[in-house]
Amino acid sequence: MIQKKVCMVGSFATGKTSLVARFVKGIYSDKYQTTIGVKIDKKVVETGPQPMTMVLWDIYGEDEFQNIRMSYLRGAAGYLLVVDGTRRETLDIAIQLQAKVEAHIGPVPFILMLNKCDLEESWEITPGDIDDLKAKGWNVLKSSAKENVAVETAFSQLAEQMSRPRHSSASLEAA
Amino acid sequence: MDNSQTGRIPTSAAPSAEATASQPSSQAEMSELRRLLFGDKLEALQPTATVKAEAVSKVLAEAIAQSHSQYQRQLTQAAVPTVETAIQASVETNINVLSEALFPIIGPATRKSVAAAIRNLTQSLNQGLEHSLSPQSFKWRWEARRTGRSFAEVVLLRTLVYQVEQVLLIHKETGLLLQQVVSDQTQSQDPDLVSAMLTAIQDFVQDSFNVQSGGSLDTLEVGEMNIWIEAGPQAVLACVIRGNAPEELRTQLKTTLEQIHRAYATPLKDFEGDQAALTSSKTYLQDCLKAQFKTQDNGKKQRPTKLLIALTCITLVLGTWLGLGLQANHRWANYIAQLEQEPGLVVIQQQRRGGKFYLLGLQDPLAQSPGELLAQTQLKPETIHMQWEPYLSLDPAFTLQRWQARLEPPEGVTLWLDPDQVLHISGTAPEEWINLSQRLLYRGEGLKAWNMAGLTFQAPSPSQPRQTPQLQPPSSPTP
Repeated sequence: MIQKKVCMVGSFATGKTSLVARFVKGIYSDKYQTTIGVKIDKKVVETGPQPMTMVLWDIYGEDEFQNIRMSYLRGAAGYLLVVDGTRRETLDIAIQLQAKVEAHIGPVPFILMLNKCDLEESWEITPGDIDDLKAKGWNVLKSSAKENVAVETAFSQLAEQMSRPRHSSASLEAA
Repeated sequence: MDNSQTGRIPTSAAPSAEATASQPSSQAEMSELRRLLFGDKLEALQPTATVKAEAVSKVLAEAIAQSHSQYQRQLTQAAVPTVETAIQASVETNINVLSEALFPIIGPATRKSVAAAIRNLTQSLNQGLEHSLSPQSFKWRWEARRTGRSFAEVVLLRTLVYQVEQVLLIHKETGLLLQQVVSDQTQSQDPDLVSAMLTAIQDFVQDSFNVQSGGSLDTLEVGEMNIWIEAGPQAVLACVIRGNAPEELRTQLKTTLEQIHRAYATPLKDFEGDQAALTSSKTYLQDCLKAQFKTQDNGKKQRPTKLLIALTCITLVLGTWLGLGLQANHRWANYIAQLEQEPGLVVIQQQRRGGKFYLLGLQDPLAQSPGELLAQTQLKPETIHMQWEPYLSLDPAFTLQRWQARLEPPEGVTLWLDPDQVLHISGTAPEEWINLSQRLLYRGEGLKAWNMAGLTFQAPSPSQPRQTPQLQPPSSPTP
């Protein structure tokens, strides 16, 4: 059995815990519960020749009072960068966070999740913003933990990316 | 031969594709050069397959040793299929070769395993026996029922000084579980989640308290649970302990962690989430699964005294009950024997049922009262139910008694019954009485015959007494 550490990263109240709850337990609750520190969950996903255990580190959201401790991300094989589509500033924070994370743990696979797509009519993020992100080569998915949109897809895609040989591009460049 | 062509050396570094294309031509040029230098002797100098094998055999052992130190993982992986096939072939060809080779290992290994299993079983049984009848046991039984654990498990939990319930080997960088072992009869938490959470707590403590480099959280205490953590360069060893463990356990953890780092340096360094390379590290972790119980304090084995007392009491009660029962049976049997010897009493049926005695019998009116006989025994009258039906006994004593009552012999007349049931009447009696007696004796109940030879008439005058005739009763007297 292959195991991988996966982190949920993003601003506060973007739906990281709800995405994990939807993915692991298949449930959703409207009640908001702020995460203090870290919550750990796990789920086995079928990808490639053998199943993979994803150990999910649901890290508290970054806000104006506290920054995410980068030590929690050490050893992560991939991460989900979660943005609340109805709050523009969460995308800005996500872009800053991605740079910090990459500086800390290196270029590991990640997926940007534009969450709360069930409220798309009140989104502050425009199609132009999404195009800019895609232009940077980022993998962007619109998701909803509430309506179970793209949750499985996001984790499966991340698992598939993590199962590829690590630093394959770097080794090619070196060759 | 065109010398200029053979001696041509590329003047500039060609691009890589070009260099690849020029390789065959370079080899041809080298062959040509060899031919020019050695001429006809070249063939003899060419290494044959035999020479090649000989040359390789000289360096093979050295090459393997060098490869083992530098490319241990690759060498092991390359050798696995060959070794597996070789073992399979050996088994198929002659199973005895491998059996004999493994025999010295299998014997001790099996003995060790069986001894360990028996030791565990004995310990569980001893604990269970020791505490199964104590007042606490009822509390523990309730706890076992409430918590869904087995009674033995609760007993072990409540009597131990400490027990290492779970040992986790965690990858330091990722917090992923490498291996774990769990002691028998304990309920462990999901090791993947525990590993990650312990790592998160370590990270939190180190970040929050500006711990100096190298320092780390080494103990967590929650109620009666302790978690001891030993961190190494690549891996962390965490022990979930119930109770108070001695400091020697800490030394054991350090030693185990060092051994694992030595034995699995490469798999730990190259770990990318695959536990398979570290499966065999479980044997090291087993060394940390230690426990100590109260009953074995100071190496002194306590005897299950409470159990012995309880068993003695039960034996005494049972013995007394059985003894009393047997005694009553014995007295009853004696009483029945006495009744059976008593004239005029006949026991038809008797039995013991539900602690009481029942009897059905026949009783002659002249026989001794069974109640009086019973009073002479130590049997409790309330446990005895008797039913006596009346009858007439032909016992000689009763027959004589009855004839004396019927004939009412006058003074001077004696009646006696011989063993042949012949009634003898002797003495002197008035003629009227003799006549009446002869009439009464005519039916002769209980007699085979009667004899009045010794009886004389009482003469009204002093004349010579007359001899009475000897009379015979009917041929078959009615009893």
